[in-house]
Amino acid sequence: MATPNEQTLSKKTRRILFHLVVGLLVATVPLWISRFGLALSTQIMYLGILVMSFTFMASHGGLLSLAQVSFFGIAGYTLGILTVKAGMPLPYPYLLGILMAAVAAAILGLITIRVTAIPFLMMTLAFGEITYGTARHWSSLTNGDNGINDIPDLVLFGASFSAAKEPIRFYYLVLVVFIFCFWLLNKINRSPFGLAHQATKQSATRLEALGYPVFAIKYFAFIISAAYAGIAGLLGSTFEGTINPDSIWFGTIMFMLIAAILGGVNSPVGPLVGVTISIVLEKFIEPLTDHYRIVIGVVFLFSILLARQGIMGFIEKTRLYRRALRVCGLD
Amino acid sequence: MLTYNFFIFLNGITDAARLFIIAIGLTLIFSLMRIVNLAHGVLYLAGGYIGLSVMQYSGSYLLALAAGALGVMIIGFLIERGLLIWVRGQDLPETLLTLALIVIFQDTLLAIWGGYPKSIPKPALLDFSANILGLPYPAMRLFTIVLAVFIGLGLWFLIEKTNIGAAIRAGVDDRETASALGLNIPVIFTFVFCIGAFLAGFAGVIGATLTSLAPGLDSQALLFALVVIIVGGLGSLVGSAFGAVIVGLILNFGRSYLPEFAFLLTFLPMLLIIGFRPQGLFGKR
Repeated sequence: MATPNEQTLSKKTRRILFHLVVGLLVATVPLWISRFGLALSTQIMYLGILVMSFTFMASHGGLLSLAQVSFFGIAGYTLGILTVKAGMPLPYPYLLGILMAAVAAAILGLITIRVTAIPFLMMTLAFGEITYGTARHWSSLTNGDNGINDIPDLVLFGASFSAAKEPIRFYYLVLVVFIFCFWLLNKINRSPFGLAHQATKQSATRLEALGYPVFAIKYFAFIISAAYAGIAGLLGSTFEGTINPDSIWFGTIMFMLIAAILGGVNSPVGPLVGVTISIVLEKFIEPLTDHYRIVIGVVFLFSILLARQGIMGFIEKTRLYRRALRVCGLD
Repeated sequence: MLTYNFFIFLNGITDAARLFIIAIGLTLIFSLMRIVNLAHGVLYLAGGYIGLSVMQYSGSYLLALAAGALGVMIIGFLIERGLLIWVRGQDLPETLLTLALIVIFQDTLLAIWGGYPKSIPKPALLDFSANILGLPYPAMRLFTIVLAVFIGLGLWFLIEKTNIGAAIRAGVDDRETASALGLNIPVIFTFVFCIGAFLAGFAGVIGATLTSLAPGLDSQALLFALVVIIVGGLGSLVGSAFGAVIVGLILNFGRSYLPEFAFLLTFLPMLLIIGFRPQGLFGKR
């Protein structure tokens, strides 16, 4: 049974229509949502980029990199230190922030990319704890526990993007960055490089035998993922106006991991779904109990035991979802 | 200056003893079950807190030590039999499950014992200062070295010289054959996991006496344990001892001479060793 839609409109038209509707929906968010909701939506998008950087490495049985939060923090700290402490003029700290995250990954990747999944997870977790400890203890550079506050507003083309004073403008900025990152990541995943990257996860030895430089592919992918985490870190610290050890503590690592697994590691929209659900869940449970993390931990536990593919993995199996995809012209 | 350095060295060694006691349970579980029990840090903290409460009630340090270790062993038993059994043999879910347990336990401990730093008073027998090079040094710290050596030798004896140890080693080397020869592998797994948890709880009480108990110290304990076993080689007892000494010394010399970088410096041996010897100092390929 084809729906009337499918008979009357070509696939391409339906796809364009779908994108228009979604675009209209997200573009009009500031009109119909509360100020609190707008702040949440902004947060969801930059954290979505962070989780995307994680699933880029982790999807299809890849490597779980818990160091993404460190890259997030390294970019944020670079921005904070260069703007607040060194007084560098504005566009450059942003570029250097992404660069520093990538450089950190280039150094870490040299040693960690060679090992298998479990040691990799251990090492990146250790790296995360070390970045956190360093952020706390290297106080001459990072201001220790206080962190770096009053990160200046981002000024682009003469317009100021202040999260506090111009939340709507800031929302649009993050939206544009998010859409660009999302689009680019899907583009990368479908490119020859992206396909080779996926193949390294499935059978590295065979790929090696075919003459692909497996190490270089994984290494480069790790650097890309760090750059993504860095972008998220820049947006996050600009949004909060501060970067401090609390932004990169163990809880943030777990937030990223839980959001990724809940949403579904293998689905392109998984990160967005996962972050949205985690944040909404957090905001709902937080007022009820001081110990909402227990609830979140239990939810995570059950999703590991029962629904390894996450919510999107579950939805993707349903008939309704496939039909919806067909109607929207996305199949 | 020499005396100063000697005391830093001594601090490093006593810290290494503490780190060794923390890391040894993690190594043991990994060497047989190939599970990185990331909840080891919170189990360590739980042991400390249980010990603290028992100490407050009974006033007996030995009882506190026993309660901390056995209490965590029971928690370990429940984790292994209740949860890990469902994801047996799947590396990643096993590890993720232990990560989920961290989140749950961290908040549970916070709910029960609160967020203020606490510590367990030293046992009366060891609450004095030994005289080293004319300077006082806490006897409890020196005792930790004895304890670490004792635990290390005890485990070595258990694994190398007893029937249970032989069964464990058989399980490590070839799970299928061992199981076909009639060894009950699941029971051995549970046994080993319980010993690992026992050691975590034991280390928690000792650690709470030497340093303190506070939320967040669990991740620190886990971090050091991870670095120790990565440097020493996953699953190697001797490796853990060497790893602990390296990390303990670097941490203490770092804290004295480059306090801001002490944390970063602990990462250095890990970087070097993985760069040149990915399996760790004593790891098997």
